[in-house]
Amino acid sequence: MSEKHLVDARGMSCPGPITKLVKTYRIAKNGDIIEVLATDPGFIPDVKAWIEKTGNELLELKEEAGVIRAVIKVTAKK
Amino acid sequence: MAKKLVILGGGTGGLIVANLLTDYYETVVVDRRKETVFQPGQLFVAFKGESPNKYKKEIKEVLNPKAKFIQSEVTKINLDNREVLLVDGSKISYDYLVVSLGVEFNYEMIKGLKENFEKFGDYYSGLESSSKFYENFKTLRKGQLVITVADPVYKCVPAPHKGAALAADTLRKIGSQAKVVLTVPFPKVYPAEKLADEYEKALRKHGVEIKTMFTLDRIDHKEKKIYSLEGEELSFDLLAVIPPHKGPSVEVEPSSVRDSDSYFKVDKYKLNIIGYDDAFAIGDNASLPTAKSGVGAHLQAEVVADNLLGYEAKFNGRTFCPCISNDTASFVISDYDHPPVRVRCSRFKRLIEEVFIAGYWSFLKYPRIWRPLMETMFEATKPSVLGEIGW
Repeated sequence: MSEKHLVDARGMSCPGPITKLVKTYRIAKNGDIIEVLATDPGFIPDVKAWIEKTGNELLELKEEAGVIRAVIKVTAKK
Repeated sequence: MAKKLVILGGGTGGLIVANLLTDYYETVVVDRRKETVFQPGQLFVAFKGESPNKYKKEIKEVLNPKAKFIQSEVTKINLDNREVLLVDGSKISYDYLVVSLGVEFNYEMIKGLKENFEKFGDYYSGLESSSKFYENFKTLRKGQLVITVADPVYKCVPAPHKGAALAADTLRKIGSQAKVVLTVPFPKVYPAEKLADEYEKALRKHGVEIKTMFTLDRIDHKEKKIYSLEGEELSFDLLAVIPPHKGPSVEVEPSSVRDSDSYFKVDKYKLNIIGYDDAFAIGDNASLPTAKSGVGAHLQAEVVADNLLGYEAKFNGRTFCPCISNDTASFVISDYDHPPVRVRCSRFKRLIEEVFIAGYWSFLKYPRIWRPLMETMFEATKPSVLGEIGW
């Protein structure tokens, strides 16, 4: 059964919300959804680069009222 | 009668709190080890073959003699009963508690990591494992030394970079043809925009090959390969792993004061454990939105001591983490309100770091004497002062 993981990285700076995403990715499996909330603007290029590298699917990436929301479908776990 | 302060852990944070407050509180320090270690020294043991004795001292030597030291393991902390249980069954009650137990390493989380640790050692787990690593490192004449990060939350964020630069220097000095490869889980070589380019340039100058977005998934010792969560593989002849970290394995009542990695949830300014005004967690075992570092533990210790002396003090998330090679250094300087500023590598900054290393035991034992110097330095290098131009 696929699961939904919520990663709340609001207010996090160095080493950044991407680290929380990676920690969650370790325990996730293909089919799972990871939703990340972040306020660090550096997260946008980071998550795009991460998606390109890993080949997972970015379902949504938007910024509203200073909060970045990225929704990722895990498809590339080996 | 003086109130009783119990400090768990005889590392940087714990000993500084003790040495600041022993004159005002009946102070007890508990640590399972007899010795305290200057952890950055592990780099010099592992990559330069320095003596581990230079980087450890008996806790009694650096603790105010009026404080009591108990060498024992803490098995349980009961925050509601204000009580600490030791492994021999004895109980210590407190009026105030400071938990500064550091981190533990989770070798089971990564397939092949325990075998790697037993075979090669590492430069994170202690001075002994650093010496063991050096015995393997000094005979490496060709092939690849890979330094890799298992999990993106670890203490001393520039430690993998320091290890890579020092390793490359030593290999060149001993005439080895071996190459150094550094892998990091971040999109750039360092997870701070204004430092990433500087560190990449410095590492390339040392001949270090860099692989970004490589988070260790598993180690295959038969094939001598590591595999990343992101789907890549890499060969090694010698492998140094920054092991996954977790909070101390002591039982805590109530358990709700810890996060999913067993770090203590604290107020990020006052450092009290959430829900308790008589218990604090500082240093690596605190869950804080800033880097885990010795400098952080030192500054947090001062904040807790000030508050316990009746002053209003707040931790501002300040970092001052050195990123060094043999001949140059930069510092990771940030706080809660400012991401790391641009700090160029220079020989003078390497000298500053050398002064810190030489003075460490004295900083630990006499924090009050050194405080004006520390405050002047931190004030002069505030991220808001350095600004866009950096340092």
